[in-house]
Amino acid sequence: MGKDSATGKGKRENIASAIWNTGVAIPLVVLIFWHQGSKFGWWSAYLLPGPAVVMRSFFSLLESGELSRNIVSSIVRILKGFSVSSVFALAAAFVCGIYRPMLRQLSPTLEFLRHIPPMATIPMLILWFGIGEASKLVIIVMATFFPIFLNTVQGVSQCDRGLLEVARIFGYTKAQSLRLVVLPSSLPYVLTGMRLGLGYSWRSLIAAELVAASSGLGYMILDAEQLSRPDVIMVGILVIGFLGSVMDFSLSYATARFTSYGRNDVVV
Amino acid sequence: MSWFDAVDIRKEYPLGDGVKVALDGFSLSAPRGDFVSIIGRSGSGKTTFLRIVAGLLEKTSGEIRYGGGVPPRIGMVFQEPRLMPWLTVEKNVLFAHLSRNRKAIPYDMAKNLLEMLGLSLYKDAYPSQLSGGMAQRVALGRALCREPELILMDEPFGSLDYFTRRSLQEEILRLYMRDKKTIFLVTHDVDEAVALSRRVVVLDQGRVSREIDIDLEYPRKRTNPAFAATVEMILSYITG
Repeated sequence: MGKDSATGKGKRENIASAIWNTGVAIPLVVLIFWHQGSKFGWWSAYLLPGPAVVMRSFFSLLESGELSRNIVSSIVRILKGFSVSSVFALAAAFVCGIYRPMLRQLSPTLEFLRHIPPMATIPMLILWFGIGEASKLVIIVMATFFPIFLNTVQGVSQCDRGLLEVARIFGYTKAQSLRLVVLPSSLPYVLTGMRLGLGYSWRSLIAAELVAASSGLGYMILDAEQLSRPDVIMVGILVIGFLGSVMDFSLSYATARFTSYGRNDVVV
Repeated sequence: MSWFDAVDIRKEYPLGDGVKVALDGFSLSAPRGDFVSIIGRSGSGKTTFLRIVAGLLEKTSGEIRYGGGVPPRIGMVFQEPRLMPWLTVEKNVLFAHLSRNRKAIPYDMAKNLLEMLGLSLYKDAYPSQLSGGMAQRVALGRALCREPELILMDEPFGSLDYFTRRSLQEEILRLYMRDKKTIFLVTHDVDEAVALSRRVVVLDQGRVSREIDIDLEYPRKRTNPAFAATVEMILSYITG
């Protein structure tokens, strides 16, 4: 391979295989199509501005600080809502996972609430909390609660009875078993729930900002709509997708990192 | 009264409309340092007895008494290793102590045990990286790390291949010769019972049908005619 990469042909082959292996081939094709289409006027530039125009708006929004301000305000909302929701969902899930009658009491109510898309409650939330931070926080909590709660309940209830017996023989109290057996054994489920929850909350937050907000990426898009700036809308869409994947990737990386327990390593 | 006395133990499980009797007047006494193998067909109540001693099951009636008055510290090895997948080999061995103060965790003892069981190299490995035999060694180390006065083993070699089983049997014997801890071993391998234990108890339908003292010198040679004769005799009791 070392010999090959020295030649021009080998280099081209390496780039081609890198594109193929990382799965950027499709985005690349879309980008080329988008660029060519705009260049040769296959569609009106107002309906879809070309990548160069979008890129230029991206940098000018970055320069003016408008983009970063909106990104920061969306992300801060996510962080706040996600932490609040995680605390509640985890606590509720552990109580329900351990104390089953509680789950029986709660499950019809939760089942009902689970089917309500957070967005559907927006008018009521605005009525109660205004268009400020509180209504966004509630939206995020609603979106994240269920994936975290349901996954954690599952994690707690699937805990291997055999392992709990070991703890019991070794003189663990109930609280110690919970902390040292149930908790670590449900960690992969908790992290999966958080990852799902994060995705949901990102999407619902943007949607909420599109309806009523004075900052955030959703607001930026809404504002651009009123100013007839499709290039800014495209910047918003791309940034939302990009940030969403970065967040998801970080959590899935953390999940793999902290819960592989040597499964990817050599068996001795 | 001996060090360990199980008197007239009865255990019923609900089964459909009726009850299934797993133990029916089971009694067993053992002095400290005894090595008792409990053998019998599946469903004869072997495991039920062990689980009652371990405190994992409630008995329906009967009594378990200890000469010392207080129940001894128990270490148990199951048929499956039952290791915590999120803990390294070392932490798994130390499992009995993880609920205690960080400073009280006996790392030295774990180090010695790992060395003795030939696991030093795998101290930082995770259970998913171990073979079945290795994992069972770790489970044994974990039981020993509690410094148990009574060791319960529920078919600990049942799922291992022949070679691994033999080497672990030797390991157990070596430990027994060294520490003379009391061991109750549930097995359905007559050969294993005769090779390891001082006494073999044959269980049939929830009660002891025979108790055989094995008066052979340790380590026992399977080629010894007396060994083979003992195995044959016990087999005939079981298959009756």
